[in-house]
Amino acid sequence: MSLQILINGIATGSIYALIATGFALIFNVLKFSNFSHGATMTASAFVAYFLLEGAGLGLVPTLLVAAAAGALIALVGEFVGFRRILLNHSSATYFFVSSITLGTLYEGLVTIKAGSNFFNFPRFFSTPTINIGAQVISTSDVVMFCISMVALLILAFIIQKTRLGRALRAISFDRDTAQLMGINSTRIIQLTFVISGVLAGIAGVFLGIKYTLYPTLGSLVVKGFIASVIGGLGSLTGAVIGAVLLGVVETILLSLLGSGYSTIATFAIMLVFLLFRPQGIAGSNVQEKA
Amino acid sequence: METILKVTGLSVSYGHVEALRGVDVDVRRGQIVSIIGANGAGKTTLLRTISGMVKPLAGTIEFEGKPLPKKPHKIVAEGVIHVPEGRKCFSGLTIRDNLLTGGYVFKGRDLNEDLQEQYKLFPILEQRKNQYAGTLSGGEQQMLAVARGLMGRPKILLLDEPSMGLAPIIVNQIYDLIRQIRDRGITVLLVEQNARKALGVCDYAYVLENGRINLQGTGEELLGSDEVRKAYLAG
Ligand SMILES: Nc1ncnc2c1ncn2[C@@H]1O[C@H](COP(=O)(O)OP(=O)(O)OP(=O)(O)O)[C@@H](O)[C@H]1O
Ligand SMILES: [Mg+2]
Repeated sequence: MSLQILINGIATGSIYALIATGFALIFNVLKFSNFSHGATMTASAFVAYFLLEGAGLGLVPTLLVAAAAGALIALVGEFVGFRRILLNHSSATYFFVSSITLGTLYEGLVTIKAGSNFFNFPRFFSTPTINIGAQVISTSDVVMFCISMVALLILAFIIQKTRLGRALRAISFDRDTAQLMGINSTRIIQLTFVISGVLAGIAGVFLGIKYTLYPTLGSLVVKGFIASVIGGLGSLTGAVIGAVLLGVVETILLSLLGSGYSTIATFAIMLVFLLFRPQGIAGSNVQEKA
Repeated sequence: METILKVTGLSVSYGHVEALRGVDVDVRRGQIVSIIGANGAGKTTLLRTISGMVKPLAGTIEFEGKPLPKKPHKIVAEGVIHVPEGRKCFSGLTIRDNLLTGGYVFKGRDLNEDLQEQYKLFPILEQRKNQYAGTLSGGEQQMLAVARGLMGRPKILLLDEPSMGLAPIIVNQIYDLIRQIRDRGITVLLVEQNARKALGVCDYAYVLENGRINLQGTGEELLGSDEVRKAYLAG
């Protein structure tokens, strides 16, 4: 296997990791799958594209605008789509319907503005490839990998070491009791959506760079779902490991089997995982104990 | 001693179930006040209404002469701290993180001193501070739940059945602890099915039956009452 394929796989995996963690965060605090996450990625990437169109700005401003857009979209989505359901302790089915509706709405809005065309971000890198000995690797893969890693490390720091992170973890274990600790759960849930939206924005831009921008780009969120199932639903570390594994396996399969069969093989792997290890790589965490 | 917590005419319903019907409770500063009652009497509902988790149908709750805020997190900030039934430690958080969560309202304050204080009171928690709370035994989890409550620097501590499911020797430890807490000047509102224990430790007590206060008096008075003896101390 060439270094190029490996690096390509890891870079792809690190984008999946951004998707999977953004998705898993919401799953953690609300115990539901946020199916509007994919469309949030697309919409924020498009917002950055259109706002900065022709300005000739680099990758970093694009990411910042997309992250801000993602945060805003997620915040509005939380208020419009989920707040009421949450306060009424309604059944998870409502979250399902609400998040799908929101996602379809975002996608519709993007389609109105963009049509069914494909858009390309400007070239962000003056040298598209780096040569290491005989190997040629793509600059964007390396940069996307590095930025994803930084984002994930910051996320890990927030979750593990800060007051906000502790509150978020407390809520994900027991929202009622967290409130008895003086945690304003509504506020923390809002902030969780903001973080998830920021991750969606960054992931959206990276997907756009990798595959061009189009209104249904967000359907790649499925890769994030798969990664978080492989990793163990709700486990952030598991999601990252699952995502990188998925990225590498997928890229290798792609180079061996071509695009048609590699997709089938990827889904087959997920089914095998669901059959034999439904708790994922991280396994059952202590959540179920005591 | 002046009244620190005054509950007047409190009624609570869950749909058709009337859990509390016109409950009056007075808690004096620096005392241990017990509420005893059988399963389903409404003890937990009373505490959850005080801490803002359940909305009352009627009645008022005054704390230090003022109505309590509505939102649970604001009530906690007033120094009304509720240690829930069944301990409810955050099982996947370390013991240290559980304690820090208890001090959540003190934004920007260094909680290290408070932590050390709890570790002095509960050495077992210090030994295991980096382990998940889910790995503690039931008794240890109850200690952690109380310690986590103390991290919030309570003016009044609401304890819901701290002796539930614990061996007698551990129950005794918990009750010693409750006395120590009162002796530090923290008011305690204690809810229990274990009437003998609760009446033994308290300064004043109420008997809750089917959502109503049926009897009240000092611990000794109630321990001596025929009614209480028949219904709650038999065996
Ligand atoms: N969330 C709820 N929804 C509906 N009914 C409830 C709810 N919580 C409590 N109840 C009912 O309200 C009444 C009082 O319950 P509560 O939990 O306050 O009693 P308790 O005295 O704490 O009992 P225990 O000693 O078993 O803990 C019971 O009839 C109970 O079934
Ligand atoms: Mg109860």
